[in-house]
Amino acid sequence: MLTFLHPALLFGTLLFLVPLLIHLLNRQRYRRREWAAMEFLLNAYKKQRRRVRTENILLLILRCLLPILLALAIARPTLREVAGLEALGGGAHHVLVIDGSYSMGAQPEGAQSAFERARFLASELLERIEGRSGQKVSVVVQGVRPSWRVQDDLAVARARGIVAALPAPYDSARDLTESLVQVAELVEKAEDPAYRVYVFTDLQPRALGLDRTGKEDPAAAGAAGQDAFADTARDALERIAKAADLTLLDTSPAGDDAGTERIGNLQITGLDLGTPVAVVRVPVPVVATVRNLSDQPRRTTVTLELEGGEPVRKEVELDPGAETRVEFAVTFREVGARRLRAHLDADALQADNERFLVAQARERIRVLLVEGSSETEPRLQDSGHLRDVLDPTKGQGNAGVTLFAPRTIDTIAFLAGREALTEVDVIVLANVERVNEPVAAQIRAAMEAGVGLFVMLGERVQPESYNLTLHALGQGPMPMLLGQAAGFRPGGDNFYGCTIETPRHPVFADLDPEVYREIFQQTPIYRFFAAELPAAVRSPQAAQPDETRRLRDVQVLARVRDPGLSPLLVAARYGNAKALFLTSAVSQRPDRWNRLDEPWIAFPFLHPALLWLTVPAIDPFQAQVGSILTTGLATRPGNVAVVLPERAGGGKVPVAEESRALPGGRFALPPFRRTDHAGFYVFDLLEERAGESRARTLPFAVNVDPADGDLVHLPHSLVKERLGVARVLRALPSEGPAQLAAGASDLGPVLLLALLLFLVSEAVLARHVSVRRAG
Amino acid sequence: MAELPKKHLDPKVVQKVAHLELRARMVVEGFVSGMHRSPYRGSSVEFAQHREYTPGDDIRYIDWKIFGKSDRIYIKEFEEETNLRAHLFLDQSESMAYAHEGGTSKFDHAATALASLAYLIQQQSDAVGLTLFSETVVRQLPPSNTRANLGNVFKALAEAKPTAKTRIGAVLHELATHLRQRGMVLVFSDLFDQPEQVLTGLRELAQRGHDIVVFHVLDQDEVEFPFERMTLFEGLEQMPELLVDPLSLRDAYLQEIGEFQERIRKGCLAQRIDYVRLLTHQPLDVVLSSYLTARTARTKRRK
Repeated sequence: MLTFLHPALLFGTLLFLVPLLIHLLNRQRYRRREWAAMEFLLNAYKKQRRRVRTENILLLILRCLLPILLALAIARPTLREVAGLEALGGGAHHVLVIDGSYSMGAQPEGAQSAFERARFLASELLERIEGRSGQKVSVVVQGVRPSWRVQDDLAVARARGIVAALPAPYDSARDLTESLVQVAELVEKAEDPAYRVYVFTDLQPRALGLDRTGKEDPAAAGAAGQDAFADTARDALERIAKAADLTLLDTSPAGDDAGTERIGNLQITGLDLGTPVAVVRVPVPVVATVRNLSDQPRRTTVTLELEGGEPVRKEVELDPGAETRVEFAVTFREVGARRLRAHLDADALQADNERFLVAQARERIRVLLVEGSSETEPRLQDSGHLRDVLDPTKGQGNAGVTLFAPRTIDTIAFLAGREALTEVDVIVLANVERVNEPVAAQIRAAMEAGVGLFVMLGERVQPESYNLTLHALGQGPMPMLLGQAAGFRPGGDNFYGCTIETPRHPVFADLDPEVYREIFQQTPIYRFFAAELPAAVRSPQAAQPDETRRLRDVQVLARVRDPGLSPLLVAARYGNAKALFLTSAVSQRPDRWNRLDEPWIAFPFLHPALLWLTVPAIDPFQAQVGSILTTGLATRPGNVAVVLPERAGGGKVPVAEESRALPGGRFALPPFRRTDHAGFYVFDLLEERAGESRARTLPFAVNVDPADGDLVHLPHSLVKERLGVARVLRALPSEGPAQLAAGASDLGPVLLLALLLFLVSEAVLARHVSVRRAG
Repeated sequence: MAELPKKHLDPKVVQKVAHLELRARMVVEGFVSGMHRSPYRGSSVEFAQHREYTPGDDIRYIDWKIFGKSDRIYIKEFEEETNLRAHLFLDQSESMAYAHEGGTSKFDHAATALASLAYLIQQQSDAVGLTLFSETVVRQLPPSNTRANLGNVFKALAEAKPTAKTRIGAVLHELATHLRQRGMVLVFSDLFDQPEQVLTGLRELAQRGHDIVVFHVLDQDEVEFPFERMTLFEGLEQMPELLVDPLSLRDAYLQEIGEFQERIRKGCLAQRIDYVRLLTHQPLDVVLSSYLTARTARTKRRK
């Protein structure tokens, strides 16, 4: 394939027009002359016409060829050995894959970031091929997803402009696999004759699909075995290498070709509430987790900023590889979504130096107790004991004393369906005889909105009703089918104990130290409802996420130690909420089925259980970069717009997508997908409620995946070995662009020789013609 | 003497030629009489002397009276007087209008030469006639030795303009038919016609006993073709035009026109016709003097 080092100079070939124009002008600029001896002239012309014309054409061709050859020689043509379609089609298709993950933004002091270097090298590469003929360019940046900035473009200059204007990398932590697979599919189509794929990356193991576990040295892991690399990235690179000329360009500011060097980096890996629920005016712990990903001990300042409050700072010192929790006490003064931001001192990588949290501050936890009996005496009620446990002050204490605000209604009122179940945080069915279908539908809708459900099953319960409405052939929130009550006489000498299956579950968080769990397991269980879990959910492994099912994550937290090991406490997710089913109701009635009402058990068991139920199964307001932001709303939102965080450029963008209806009469917040950077994304919307439009803001906290902050640089030899890539370079070859490809040869000297030959030929011919005609 | 139009009679030329003639009458007479010694028989013949008969003498000039008296045969010799009838033919076709830059046209040059000779001939009381022709005979003045006739010749030359095409062969044939009295025919033309037809016409004239001199009038450009720049040659006499680089055709053209001249010259010589190449850039006096000198010498050799 013929290419040129200086293709712009090919315009010089147009100079062949000069002798042509002179020839034509000479034919126009002639003298008129009357001539008598015309017959002799005509005879001479007839005899000489062919020879004269041949001489003239030959001279003209030679004179036209001279500037063409000169321009071609100056443009430095190079001939490259090509095969197949490339030879026929000419040109090449350059595909530039640029790693846009946030690790590319790492910038050690005084050095150029990997992304800046990638941008520079890509621009330089495009500049080199800019003037060459038949060059096509595609540029894909791997951020949250592959972003094709330039696709099959012949305008290399334009592509160069786009590359030069690429903003800072995304806050994404995605590896290059998705882009590489797309590029592999592109090059395998082979519509273009010659593909040249350049991958600009910092050679971070993660970017190349290295599957790293724990704190193992990535280079060592890579050397340990093939399994260190994920198949997909390697496969995609192998596919590309088969169909195209592949070059990996190492843009990392760390290390060299042979060695491994880690850029020191401190990061915040988490920012969480220390308690499941935040209640206003009650101090809650806020924990920032800080990790030292460097080879040196590091000291830094952790600063926590609460929306509208003064920042709080804490100094922390970390050993190499250490992770520590820094706790702050925060008191929320207002109900609603509250924004918190923690950040560290500046270091090489800024993207993971800050973390965001949206905490839902509540007045108290609203618990709706549905009393199964008709008793008025609290001691004889099924819910009386729970109410006492949740609020020992009976509504007199402040939030510092009790987080819960229980309210009791009877079964008749509940089954009438007049309660607004979405206005509470947890619904408790305390030995309720049955659940009719309308109320079951209300419960399902409330759970879709995140309202927790606690069901205590006692002697009044009609299992058929529960199976029909709450199990609903596996479509309801109750995962198991209830059988008959079993066990011994309440209060008798015979009873069962129980076994905690998941001691680490948050429900048992307060049964610590272990002695409390032992006490819990030894507590008498006289009677219980036998329950059968469907085969699909008998084991925790079977609880696979399935978008088509509302019921997920079914877990048996504790079992009765009866011969059948019947489930005692079953946890499940339904919609956006959680549910707990206790097959032996807790009460202080004389004929109670168990003795879980004992204070040293009841408080450390029921408080965490209700707190766990209060927090929705899915917190839509905490998301990672690249997530789709949406949630369910009670009313259809209008005029939805999103205020972007500073890292995403700020500003406010409208959300064009319409809200859609959700099960239970709720509506989805129109999703926002451009979460390429970390920060608070605040939805502004209008809610229609009771005929009035009310403005509302919904902040979402979007954080980076800390995994990309481990700035390890792989040696080239390892990359070549593991990924099967033949060419890994730190810079573009210093030779001319023609030497980028092997087998290129410079045709300039040959053309200059030809030019000289033509020049001599022209001179000889012109002299010959001139002498002969003059003579 | 008739007034000489300056246009066609260059006084300097005439003076030079006349001076030559006046100073050497023999040359002029020789030029005329030497050429036409026997064929011309004028009516005014003056007796000069007797001489003894020698075999081969014309018996018509035997003086029979002396023979009767002395029984000897004598031949009467007369004092001859020239009585020439000169027919001057001038080609006035369009091709004769050509002139090189700053020079005289072939027609003017030929007319000047013709006028000069006419003047000289009339000076020695010979008859001069003029015929202007192109593709046909355009105008004809019969030969006369009067001064008035000379004036008419000059006037006709002054009025003539080269216009039409040449058909010199046909015209010479036509003239040969009409010229009953033999005499001298001087043809001034570029002869741009088919050489065969030109020579045929000349032959017919010669066969009728005319003494013919062909003045082949050519321009310097036509024999040297000195052009260098791209030129559009516009053909005279309805010939096509040709845009050409003259340098590229020069050789071939010179060969063409050289062959043409040579063919005419050889054809004339073959018929004992005098051929004089009259180039417009050459001084007329030189050409005519050279020709007259050569002719005189040739006449003397014959005597």
